[in-house]
Amino acid sequence: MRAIVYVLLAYVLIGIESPLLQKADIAFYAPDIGICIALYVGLNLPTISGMIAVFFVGVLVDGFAMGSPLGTHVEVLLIVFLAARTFSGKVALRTPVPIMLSCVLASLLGSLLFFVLSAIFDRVFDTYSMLFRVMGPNALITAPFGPLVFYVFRRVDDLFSRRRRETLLFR
Amino acid sequence: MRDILRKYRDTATTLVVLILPLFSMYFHGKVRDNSTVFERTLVALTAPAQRVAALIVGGIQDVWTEYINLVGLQAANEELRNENQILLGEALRAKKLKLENQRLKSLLGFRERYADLKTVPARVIAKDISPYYRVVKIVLDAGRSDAVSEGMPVVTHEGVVGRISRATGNFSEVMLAVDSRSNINVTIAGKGVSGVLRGVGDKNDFGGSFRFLHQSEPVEQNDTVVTSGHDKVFPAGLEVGYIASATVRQNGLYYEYDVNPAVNFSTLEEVLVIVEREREPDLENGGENSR
Repeated sequence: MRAIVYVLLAYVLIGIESPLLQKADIAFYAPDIGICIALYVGLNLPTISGMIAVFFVGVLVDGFAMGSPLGTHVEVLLIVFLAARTFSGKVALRTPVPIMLSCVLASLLGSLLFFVLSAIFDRVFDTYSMLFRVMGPNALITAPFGPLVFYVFRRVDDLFSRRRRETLLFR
Repeated sequence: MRDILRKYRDTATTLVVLILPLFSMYFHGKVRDNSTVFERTLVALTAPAQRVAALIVGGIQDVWTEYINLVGLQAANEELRNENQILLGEALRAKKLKLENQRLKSLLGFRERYADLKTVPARVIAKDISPYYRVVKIVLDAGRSDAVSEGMPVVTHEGVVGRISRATGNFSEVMLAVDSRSNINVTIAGKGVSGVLRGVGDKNDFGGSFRFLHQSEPVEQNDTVVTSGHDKVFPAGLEVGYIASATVRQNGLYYEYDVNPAVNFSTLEEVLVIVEREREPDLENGGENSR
């Protein structure tokens, strides 16, 4: 259930991102909301349900961001998710600064993966130099959105845990 | 058996979920003329969200610019202040409508000038969110239900915008002429120098490069680059851009000039999709076909 709500929330967040960037006229650099979501899910959901949620979030990102072959963002987000899953028991991201740092690292990892996958699978991809110029600023602009995404998803988690407590109480 | 399945469930699921996108990338990474059913489904799934979000964001922006932004002004008379705000709001709205009217008039002028082209008007509802393909995509509120399909040229009164890369029921996506994957057969107006305009796809610059093999006349800065019609996609004579600098570069067999696009992509609001044309372009030279 939580995974479904995560995907719906991702649909809303990513869906609103494109028109917002267009209106704000800052569309050259875009925060990688998908990466922030994959990071959060990796740190908070079990492997199977988390992977399925991230899979569908990746499909959505592929839908919203045309250009790359369908599946590229899915693969990138899944690998970021698995990386986050590896560290889930070792780090606790509670305050904004560690979250922002993690988002920068995840975004850089995502860009590198995007580069590798595009080089292998995209027959018409030739903007390698642009990718390397964009990945740094893009990771930095993703950073402040990390705490925001974490906050929204935590609120959803709070709602779920409160409901679970109430169910247990009245049983 | 059940124990084994339970034991390796996580590993098996992980492998399957990781391999599935690889197959999809392999299949969708090939150069294809038409979009697949998956791509069309995704556009149908994502475009409505972008449309609703664009409406909400636009509404909030209107409220902000027309009212909230003005609330902070101090005025002795509350009534006069309110009246002032309403008038200012109306003036802003009128200015916006005037600009929209000008754009639509220009588009109408284009339609009358090219009466032999059947066009469908469309609004830009969203732009690409991927930083790696920053300048390639805009989403239009016209799709297959409006007779729009893949490969159709998209233009404005200023010139060529690009071509439809995906079309679904009520929405379509446009690959801009400045995308690095875009190739358009062009010629220098009045000079007979023909070649291909290729998008540069740079993140900071909407630009293209005009590639050609042979130059019969000298090309100068600000010479107009127009479609030649040889690619059977774009009708001949549509403005694509202007030669940015008279400095020519050699790239293998080709010579290249930098080209500034005729269309200002960052302010695009309304466009026309050419869905049908009665006039066939001059095909005497054949020409390279674009993707």
